[in-house]
Amino acid sequence: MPRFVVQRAANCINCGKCERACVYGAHKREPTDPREMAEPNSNLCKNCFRCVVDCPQRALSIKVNEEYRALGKDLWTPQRITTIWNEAESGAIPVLGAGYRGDFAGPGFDAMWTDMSEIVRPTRDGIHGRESISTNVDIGRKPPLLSFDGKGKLLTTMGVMIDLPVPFLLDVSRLNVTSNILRGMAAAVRDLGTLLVLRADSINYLDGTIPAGMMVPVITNVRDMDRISGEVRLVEVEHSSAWRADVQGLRDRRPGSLVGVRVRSSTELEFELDDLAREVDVLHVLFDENGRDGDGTYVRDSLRAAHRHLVSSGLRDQITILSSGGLAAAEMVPKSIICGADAVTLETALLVALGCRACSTCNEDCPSDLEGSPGDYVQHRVTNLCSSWRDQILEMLGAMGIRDVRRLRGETGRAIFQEDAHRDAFQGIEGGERIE
Amino acid sequence: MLHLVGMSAVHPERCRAEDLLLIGDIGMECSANGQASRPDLFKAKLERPSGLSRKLDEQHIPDLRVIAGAGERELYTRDQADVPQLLKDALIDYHPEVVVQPFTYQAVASILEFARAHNIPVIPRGSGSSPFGGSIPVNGGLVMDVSTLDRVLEVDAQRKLVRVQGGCRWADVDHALSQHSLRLITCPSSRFSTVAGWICGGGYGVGSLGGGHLRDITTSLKLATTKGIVTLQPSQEEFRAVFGSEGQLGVVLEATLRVKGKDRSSRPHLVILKDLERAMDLAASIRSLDPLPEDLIYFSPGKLRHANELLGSEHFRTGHALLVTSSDERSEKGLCKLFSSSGVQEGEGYQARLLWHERYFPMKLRRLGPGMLGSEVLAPTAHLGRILQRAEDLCQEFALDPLLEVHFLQGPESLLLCYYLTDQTNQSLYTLDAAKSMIVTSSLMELGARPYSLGVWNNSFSDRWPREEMERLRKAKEELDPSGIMNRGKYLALKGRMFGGAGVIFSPKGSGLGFDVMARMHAPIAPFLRSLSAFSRRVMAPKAVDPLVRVANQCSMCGACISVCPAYALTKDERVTARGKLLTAKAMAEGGEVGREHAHRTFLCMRCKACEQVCQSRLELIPAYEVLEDRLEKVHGKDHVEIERFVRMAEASAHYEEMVSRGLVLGAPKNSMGGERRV
Repeated sequence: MPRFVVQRAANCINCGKCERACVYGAHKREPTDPREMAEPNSNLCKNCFRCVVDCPQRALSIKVNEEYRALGKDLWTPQRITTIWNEAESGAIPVLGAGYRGDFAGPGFDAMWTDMSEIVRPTRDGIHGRESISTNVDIGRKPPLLSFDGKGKLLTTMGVMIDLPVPFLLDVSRLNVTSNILRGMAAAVRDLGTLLVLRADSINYLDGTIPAGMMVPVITNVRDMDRISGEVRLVEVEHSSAWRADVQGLRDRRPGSLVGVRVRSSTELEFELDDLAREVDVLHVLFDENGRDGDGTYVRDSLRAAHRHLVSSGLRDQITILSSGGLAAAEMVPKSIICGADAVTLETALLVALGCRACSTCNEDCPSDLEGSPGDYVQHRVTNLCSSWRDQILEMLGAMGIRDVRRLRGETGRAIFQEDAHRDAFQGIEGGERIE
Repeated sequence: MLHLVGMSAVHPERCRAEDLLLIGDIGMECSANGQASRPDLFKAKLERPSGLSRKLDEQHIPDLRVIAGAGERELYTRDQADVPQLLKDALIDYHPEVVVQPFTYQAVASILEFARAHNIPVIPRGSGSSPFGGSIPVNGGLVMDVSTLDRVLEVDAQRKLVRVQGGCRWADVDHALSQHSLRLITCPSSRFSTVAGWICGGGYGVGSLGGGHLRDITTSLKLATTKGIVTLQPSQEEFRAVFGSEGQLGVVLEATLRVKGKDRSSRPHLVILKDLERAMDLAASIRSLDPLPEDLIYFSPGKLRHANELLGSEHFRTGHALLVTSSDERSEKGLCKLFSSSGVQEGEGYQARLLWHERYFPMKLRRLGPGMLGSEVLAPTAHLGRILQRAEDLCQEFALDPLLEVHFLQGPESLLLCYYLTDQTNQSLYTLDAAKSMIVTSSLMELGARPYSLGVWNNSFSDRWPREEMERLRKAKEELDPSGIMNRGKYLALKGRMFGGAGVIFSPKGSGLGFDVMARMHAPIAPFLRSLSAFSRRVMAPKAVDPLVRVANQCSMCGACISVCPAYALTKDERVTARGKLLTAKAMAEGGEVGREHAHRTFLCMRCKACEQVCQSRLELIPAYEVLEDRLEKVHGKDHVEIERFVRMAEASAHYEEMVSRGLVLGAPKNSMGGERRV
């Protein structure tokens, strides 16, 4: 969808100056009759206005596409949506030209800037050293220390550990998707080597597209576990007052699987954090589409608080934190990790990759017609998106001078938070207090 | 205007080889004509020259475009008027053997030299916007299109003078002047006619009341004659003879004109009166003002009625109108004083401006007919009332609906126009109406009028031409064109077909006498003519009218489109312009042969719509071109390569670039080109 619409008025004299003016090729003569100009191709317009200035008739105008402006809602800005579309289309890193004209800071992750000190010079490995940067993450308990006997043999018993090549899982458990889309997503998970989080009752629709070991079923009743393949390595259960009993039930049935609890982020979570860390392998924190919890707190702040709490309790490595919701751009993945997550799950971004406009008013009048998406289309688009996001994570890690995404967890020193910067700059200055 | 005269000439032989490569068509051979030495012209495929054009080609005259193709020559067989075909075919040989377009004075001189040596008549032509036939051959020969000499050479703001080339169009002169806050003192109603054309034609026009005859504002002339290039000053008899000479003395290469400063206090006023007599009285008072207003025109009720129709609204009430335009602050004050003292009620300012604006578009009316005929005479101002009444009555008798207009002049005469709508698609009706116009003219002569211009068609009235002027012309002719090749066979000694017999028919003793008799016998003749017209209208009307031909017939043939056409600027071939294309369409519809080269030339168009914007008849031309191109494509195909080459050549051309950045239609708003018309 073009961001700008180029319009040619009737007073055009077909002089062809616009064709020479436009370096992007938005203006061309009609191929069948070179005497007339073809309709401008708005998709190629970069809003440089050169044609508008060069037109001797002032017949050309460029305006922001109203349809473009109507895309998305709140966090899901038109630019983020079209960026995801392009990433899913090309699998490449997006280049947003013509300068950044937005606010310097915004809510949530926008009030956080990652360290780019290494970008001014090649990374330690040289500019081509991205391949030696690891994006692998581990899911499962990490022992605080390893013990060896005198012969150097490992004495510590290692729990189940899932090694993922990318710090994100695909998560359709909160999405409404057709079986085709589901199978497409599963195929993308196979391509990427990550995990697919899905409701236990959806497993049947997969038709064995992926091995059970790549699925993360979300169960509502512990007894459902009996119907699920033994190969499953991680299983999740919704948080409730009886979560301890649920977890115990799951452990009894599947001693070899990791157990996770899905919990909606809130201020009360802090009171249970220590208990959860002791009992559960994975804590899956859920936010809404805009990256906030029920109290309006942003992912950024919730994760930081939880991470700090667990660190001070000495329990941080006992549990793996997954964060879901409000991930609308690649940069939000490393930002989530900096704030304390081990990994994230992608949800709405997956639908946007298929053409969804994230307008949040899903009904029959959906302009994107996602329901008709064939499986291989879904597979390729999602794989492209994830590849593009991984590449962007690599770039960011490179720019920060970090060679392993696991080292980024809780590394808040690698980021500047807007309020800190503001405080540092204005503290002690009369009238320096920010007026909101 | 835009051409740099004296472009370095490329050797013709080499160019010929290049052209052959570009044409890529064995059947078409390039002539090494003027195109060879004009690197800024597009090299389109050409027809093989033959006869005179071949002979001329062999001369290798630099800076000269020789038009050999039959299709293009056809455009030079006519001017603005649609003369009944029957009359034309019977009387004159209007087909030029060759047409040339010189780009330098040297080329003009060389052609005259060639013509003199071979005893070929030379018919100079400007933009062909006069209806009298002065630029039409009567015995074949060579037509010299001097509209290619189109530069404004010098504007002297200090002394208020402008020096222009003969082929320069008045709109371009005015545009050049406006850069210096100057304007023309007088100009013809056709802004797209050439300076040379008006010098050789009438010389009375917009602003003549205040500014006088064109002769009075011209300070010097440069004339190419068979005896070489001469410069004439107002004191010379020959200088006076050039005005109205219709190219019988030589080719006007340059003219120096007096101009005036722009005056913001000048404005038009409209007065509509109940009866003709009062209008004439008021006109007389206005004419006695000092200083004289710039312009004073009388419009009959019929003219106002048609103006309402053309402007699409009831702007003007019925009555006899005077449109007077002041020239400066003093004249404006004098006018207002006169109006208040004589108790005249002035019309709304916007009405006056509307009519004043329409002064440049008299031919718009043709659209309604389609077709328009009439007579244009110089009438004694003292008897105007009587003459107008007679014209009105006579037309009524002939069942015509006349529009009368008087342009008041200095001196004892005024320019009177009496015209009416006709249907030129109905040949017999049209021929009858044309005869009626001659009778009307003859009848006005009886009351002391004389023809404004003779050309070919007014030759019957040449005995009314002032003897003194005729004598001056004859003497100048002996002096400047002893060999008699310049516009040979025109009114000094009109000859046509039938071993010159046409001259007798068109002489005062021939048809002149006939029209005279008919004018005197109008009472018994009128009912007969009326019933004949009614019969023609009923029986002879064409059954089904091709929409394309209808557009072609609505064209006023004013040639405005030519001056704005970038394709014409790049090819100098009129077939690429709106007028040329509509004539092609007409020729096709009449069963004429349109050759492949001609057909392909029609496709050379930039689709800029400047022709639509400038068209006074407001024709929807682009859709018409599409229909025409479809028809031509069916017969001759479409040369995509040539079209593409043409467009790319235009884009790279400095000349085109200049036209586009200046605005194709001078002074027109750029943001309303044609788009509003198709809504």
